[in-house]
Amino acid sequence: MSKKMNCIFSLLAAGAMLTACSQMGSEASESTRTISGTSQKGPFVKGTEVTLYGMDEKLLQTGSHYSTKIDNDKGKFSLKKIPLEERYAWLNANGYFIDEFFAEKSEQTISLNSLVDLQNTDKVNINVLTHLSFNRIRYLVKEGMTVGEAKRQAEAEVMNVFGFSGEDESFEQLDILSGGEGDAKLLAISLIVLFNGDVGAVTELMTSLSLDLETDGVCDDTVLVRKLKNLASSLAHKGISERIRWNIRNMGATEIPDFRKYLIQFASSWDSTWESCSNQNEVVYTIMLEEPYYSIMSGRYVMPFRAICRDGVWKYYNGIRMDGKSPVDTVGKYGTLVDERDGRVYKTLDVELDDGRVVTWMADLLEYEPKSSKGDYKYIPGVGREYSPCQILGRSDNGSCEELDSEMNDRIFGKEKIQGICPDGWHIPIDREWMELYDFISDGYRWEVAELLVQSQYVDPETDVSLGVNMYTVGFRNNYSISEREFPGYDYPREFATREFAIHGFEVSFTNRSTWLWRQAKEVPDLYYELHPDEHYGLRCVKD
Amino acid sequence: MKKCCIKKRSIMKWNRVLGCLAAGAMLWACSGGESKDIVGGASGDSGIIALKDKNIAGVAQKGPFVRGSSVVLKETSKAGNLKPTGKEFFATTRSDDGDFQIEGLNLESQYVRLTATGYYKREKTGQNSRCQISLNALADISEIDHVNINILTHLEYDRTLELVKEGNSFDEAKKQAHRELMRVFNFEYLVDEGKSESLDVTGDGEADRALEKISSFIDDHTDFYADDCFGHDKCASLDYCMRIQEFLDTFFEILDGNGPDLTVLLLQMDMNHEFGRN
Repeated sequence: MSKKMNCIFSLLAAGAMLTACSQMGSEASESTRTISGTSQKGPFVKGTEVTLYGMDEKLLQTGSHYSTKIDNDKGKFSLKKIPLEERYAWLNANGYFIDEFFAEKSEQTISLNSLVDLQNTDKVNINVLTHLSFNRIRYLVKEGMTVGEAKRQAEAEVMNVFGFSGEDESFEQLDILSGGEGDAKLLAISLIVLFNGDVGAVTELMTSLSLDLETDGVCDDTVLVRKLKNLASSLAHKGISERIRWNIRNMGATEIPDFRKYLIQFASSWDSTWESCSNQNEVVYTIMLEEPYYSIMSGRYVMPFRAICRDGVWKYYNGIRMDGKSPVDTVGKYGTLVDERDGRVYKTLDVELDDGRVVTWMADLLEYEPKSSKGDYKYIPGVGREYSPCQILGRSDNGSCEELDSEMNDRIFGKEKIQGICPDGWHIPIDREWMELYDFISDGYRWEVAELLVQSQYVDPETDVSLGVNMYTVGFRNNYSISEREFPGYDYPREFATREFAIHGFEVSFTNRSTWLWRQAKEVPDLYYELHPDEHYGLRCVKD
Repeated sequence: MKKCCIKKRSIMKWNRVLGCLAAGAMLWACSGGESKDIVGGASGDSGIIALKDKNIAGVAQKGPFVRGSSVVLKETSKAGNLKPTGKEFFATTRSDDGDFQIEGLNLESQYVRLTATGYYKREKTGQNSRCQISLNALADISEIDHVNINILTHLEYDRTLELVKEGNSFDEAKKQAHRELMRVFNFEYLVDEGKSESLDVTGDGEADRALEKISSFIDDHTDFYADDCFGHDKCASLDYCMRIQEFLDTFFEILDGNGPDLTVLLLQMDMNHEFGRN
């Protein structure tokens, strides 16, 4: 009996302790402090765990730790009224984040570290730069430096990898949604590592860099640096930068730093390491990169890198122009389509096929606002919009496409043209129309037509030569893969809606891949498989 | 005050794993007349040693955890009952082999709990796993400075805790859990070839090979989950990852010491497809 009583007693006591603890937050105590800040790959989202581990002046952990869960989607965290005694701390954020490129929640969680000095501030951030400098700081302190000295040196060294000066604020004070120069550099570097692929690949890239810097402060891995520069080169493209700018604004940034100039600066330093050239606009394949990339779509290793001669210097080029050809002359080639519904103006291109028929294609992606805005994933003014199958068909409902099943069967396998969301007198391209265009270009080596229709996403970042046609990928998403995200620059075809809603690849280099994709789509017996309401495509209409 | 709060945090963490079970058990213990001391744990002869400036290194492997994965080391009570004191130490893995190190540890007991969390290299494909997983390990680090975290340390973790709670010494509990686990996989003859936390999937020893086989076996099943879900919504969901973790966490329940039928377990785990396929 007494045992039982004891037990109840201790339970009560435990309860009281817990109550006492949970009330602590409201009792202001002098010995406690509140540490808050922003955690960003892109901003970490609700549910992200932020943990602080106390460290002594040698940066050895004391064992004290405090954690909190983020309750917002802006990466803001707050460790309230913690009895922290240590001056230094290891901050870790682990969770999903808003992807700066796709503007949606990452598919996998990521873990970022920050080594912070809390002597004079309660506000500290966790970001890609704090993560990259982390190991180097610890190493330098172990070698006898003070934490302050080590931080200053490590931060300058990290910036130096990207060719940036490091006289800005300390990394733990930077914020991708702020407008300072340091913030711009952070955003640029943050984007470069993000572009490396899925979260596992991003983590590996950051860890490789951070460990490479650890002992000597210099990135000795030339392949790694080239890779980073290549990523920067892709990102520096105006269309992609615009898209990111748009996303960052939507994340709540009031002042968007000019991150693009840093991307260009970093990419240019790569371009300038190339040999000189003499024939302006000459395009060659390069063997500059020792390590080929693994292409998700083709399932093989590829060397997608080509160079173009500009003003005596080879520059990175990933356009569609064949070796030795000059840029296509766009003067007088385009027609105009004015969408009466919203007044938007698009370029069009007349393609005269071998049998004499003239097919008029939109040379831009449609931007018309769909009736249902739910699932309106991507809209970048002047670049394009992504539509779900329901939206493409001009449906007003927000629900699933299930009800479309029978109707779709009738119409897809019929011969009827479907206007859908296209302007009057235009229709959603039919599978066959894509194929005719594809065959016309590839069988006849009519690269100039392709160049007119398919704008290279990766024009020279320095001169930003525009070839006239907007064919930036607005994006493509599906729910089929977690880790295999497709990024521009990763040798993947662009996906467009067709009447059949087959996944259509209209690939810049015109390998067999687009045919393969088309066939693959054709071979899928279950149409519903193709009609996933969460898939979104760009749309170019064809004139009736 | 400080101590109290740290404690609360770790209790809450623990609760998240055990959920209602723990609460239920506590109430049950109280209402039952013959309940044991709640604290429970090892006997007085356990010889707890405090450690100072201890360095620990090791590898975290399912397949190897990808670089940058998290490792947390938890101090346990000097009472020898393996209860976390609330002191935790953090590290991240540093190479493709999953190796990590934690330096300058000051601990009140030589028994530590370790947890590695992250994506790992799939044995079969060499690609990163789709889901993050967490693996645990328990170790006596008084005489060693190298502790690996792997599928064996994880599978015997809860069983060891249970056996210690029942009154066994740490060593006894660890040995028994290890033997039971190895028996399940028909590797009982290797029980003396090394403790789980000393094994390495990339090692050459016979026990290392056994670990590698068991690891791949587990991976095959999670792999099957992946194949199964590919092309469907559930593949992208958190639920899917939770199912894999749940599988890893509940596996210990079979360790009742009688060498249970693995097929039955896998059927229970909804993993029977694998057998049907072969």
